[in-house]
Amino acid sequence: MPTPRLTCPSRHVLCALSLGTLALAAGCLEPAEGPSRREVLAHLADAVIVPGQARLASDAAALADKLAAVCVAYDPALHADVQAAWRAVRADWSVASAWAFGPVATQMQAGPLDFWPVRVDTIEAKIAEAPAKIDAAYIDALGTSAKGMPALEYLLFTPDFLDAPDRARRCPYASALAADIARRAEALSSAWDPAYAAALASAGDGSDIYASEQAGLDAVVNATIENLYRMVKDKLDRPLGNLTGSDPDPEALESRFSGTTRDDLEANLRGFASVYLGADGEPGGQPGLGALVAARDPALDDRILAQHGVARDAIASVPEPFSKAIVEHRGDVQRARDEIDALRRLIKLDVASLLGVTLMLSDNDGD
Amino acid sequence: MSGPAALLRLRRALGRPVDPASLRAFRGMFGALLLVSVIRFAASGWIAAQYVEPAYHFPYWGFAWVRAWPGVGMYLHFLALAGAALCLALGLRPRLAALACFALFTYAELIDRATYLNHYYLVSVLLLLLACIPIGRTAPAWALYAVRLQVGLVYFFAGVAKLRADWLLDAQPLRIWLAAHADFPVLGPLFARAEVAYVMSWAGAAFDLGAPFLLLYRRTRPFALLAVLGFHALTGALFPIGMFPWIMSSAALILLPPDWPRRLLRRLRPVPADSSPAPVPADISPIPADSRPLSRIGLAALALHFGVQLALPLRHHLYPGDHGWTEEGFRFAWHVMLVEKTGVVTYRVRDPASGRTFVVHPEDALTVQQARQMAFQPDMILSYAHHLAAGFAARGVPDVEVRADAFVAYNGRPSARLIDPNVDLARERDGLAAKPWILPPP
Repeated sequence: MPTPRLTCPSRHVLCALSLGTLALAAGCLEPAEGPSRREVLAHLADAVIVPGQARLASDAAALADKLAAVCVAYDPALHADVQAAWRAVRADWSVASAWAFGPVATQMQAGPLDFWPVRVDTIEAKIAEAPAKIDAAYIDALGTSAKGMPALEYLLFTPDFLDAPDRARRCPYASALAADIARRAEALSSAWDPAYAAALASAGDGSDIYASEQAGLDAVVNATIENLYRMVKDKLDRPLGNLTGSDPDPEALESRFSGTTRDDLEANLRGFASVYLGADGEPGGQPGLGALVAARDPALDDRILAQHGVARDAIASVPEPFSKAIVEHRGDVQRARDEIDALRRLIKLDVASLLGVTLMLSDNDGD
Repeated sequence: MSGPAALLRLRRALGRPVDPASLRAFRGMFGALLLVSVIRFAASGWIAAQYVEPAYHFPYWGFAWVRAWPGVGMYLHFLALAGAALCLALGLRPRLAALACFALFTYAELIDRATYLNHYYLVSVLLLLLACIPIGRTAPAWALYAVRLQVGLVYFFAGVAKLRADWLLDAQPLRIWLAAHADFPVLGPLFARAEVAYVMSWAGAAFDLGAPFLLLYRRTRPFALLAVLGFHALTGALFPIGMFPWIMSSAALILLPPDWPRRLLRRLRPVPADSSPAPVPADISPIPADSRPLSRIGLAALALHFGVQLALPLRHHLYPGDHGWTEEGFRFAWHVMLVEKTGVVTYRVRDPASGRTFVVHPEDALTVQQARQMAFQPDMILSYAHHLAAGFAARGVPDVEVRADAFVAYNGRPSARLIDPNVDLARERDGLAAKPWILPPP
């Protein structure tokens, strides 16, 4: 009996059947263990980033209000209160450094909000030439070195801020800076809530910014890596003198006037923890990046949690004031730097590799 | 048959005329794809990003003399390349056009190791072949065989390269890459599963090893062609590999019978039954008595070319260790889609005279692409160490010691040191010899 020959229509039927079977198989499969990328992105957007940005905006508005009131009353008793308000804003910002992507980049807010090391001469010159009534447009037109949180820090943490002979010029300038910070913080918060958060949460599902879940995840992981890199290089290598082969330079420290250098670093790590562990900050709790890692490589998750603890402890072990420690206890600061760098490597190498993250978002072809 | 007689018979067989239709179609498609690639490259801003903006380029060993042109030079370079590619696509002075494309394209690729891609190398090799092969009313059989063999070698060695534990036993790096596409339409949920990565790894290796043979064999050809097109379409949709799927899909057509374009045209535009058939042999045919043999020089050149093409993919066996980790013998070898690697490198530069030590983060002075590539490639880490040493010397700090803290994650393994941190890289020479300062993989 002759072997029946496969005709073209039969091939088409076979192809259709094969594709149908594949689609059915894909639809019927149990989902992989752990939360999905989409769940993680949605949690980070809605439960970590939006509340974090809202806190920054709210605290910045409170700082602006307090400073405006102080500049009317000139009551030295309120000085500490204003300083505490600045510290709160600074902590919010340092936490938010862990997700410094999206609006902070598109609105180019990092420079105007956080230019340091502070250029004291520039700030003093701007105060001297400021008009009697300083409005938002004036501050907006200033260069980044004359405004932002570090410039305000320099003014607020000068001991005689409210007693200085030229307080009538300094205080309105500081108040205008605080108002500018509040406006920018509000702009960031408004951009995240709801539009950008929705875009991140819906990555790969109609998002107009992230074409795939992976693209959203890339943005989150790269921001995390960048946060840790800035801690290592800008906040520690530079003041340690590592980049120039010179002695430690306390003037290159972040937040040196307020003495909150260590607080900033700790807040940076808290930001990392909120992205990695989720809003509750508990391993195995809400779905942060770590939930994706733990589902695929529990040993790596353990290493990251352990290294995070080591880095946190190393920062905490640097004696205060940090500006003195960097000279007198250089080894402690260097150790903190090295432990943060080890955490950075785990995220940049092991986590990025595990999750197939495209590092640094270059759009070049591969292979 | 005596040796000289056999050689003459081989030369006559290689010189036998064949239908040039498939070669002509390949040349036209290849020129068009090259033109599209150049336009896409320019439109993406990559001329500036890869050639104009970098303050430093990673030269290939022995090719440090190949430099990016200053000013608008690189834009003019790519404009000339686009013009030559257009001529190639249209068949205007095609061999000259192919030669110009080869020179311009290869020059650009030799400027910086960070831009190396397997399919860029393939483009250069195919352009070289197109510059050498005569295509007239007929084409010599060697021309057809040369292009076929070249394309076949790409598939074959890509398959051989996959016969390794990472690929077959751990489904790496596909397991990582596929899991990142869990939201891919329809098939996404499958990609998240390890067993699918295994199936695709084994199928991918079998595909690469078998594709050229299955395309040449009449009975399997339709299925193989479907598989080739499907495979390249899927990889193109999943991975950022640019023009590679298009180039390979069009190149694979050269493995079909040489008259396939005529047959396709006849099917698309039927001609009357009495119209003249193609005046040239459609496929392998007896050697005509008056067949002009391939010259001895031509045969030697072919042998040399394919000797090199066979040796390059195998040269990694001359180096110790896992070449996926060391990258020794990894380029120009069709090791396609074989590794998932990320790296971090920091240099410690010590001035022995003053005892001062500088920490250098190379990403500050490199482009994103350069920083990403150099961080896991030992020879690029070495090049940059030499660059740093030269920079310090130029600033009046001669004879510095340069050491690297380089860590790499490789195909799902825990990250580990890549380079011996105690070795002064400023004293190590670049070259083809094995690099003993590369540490073993985890």
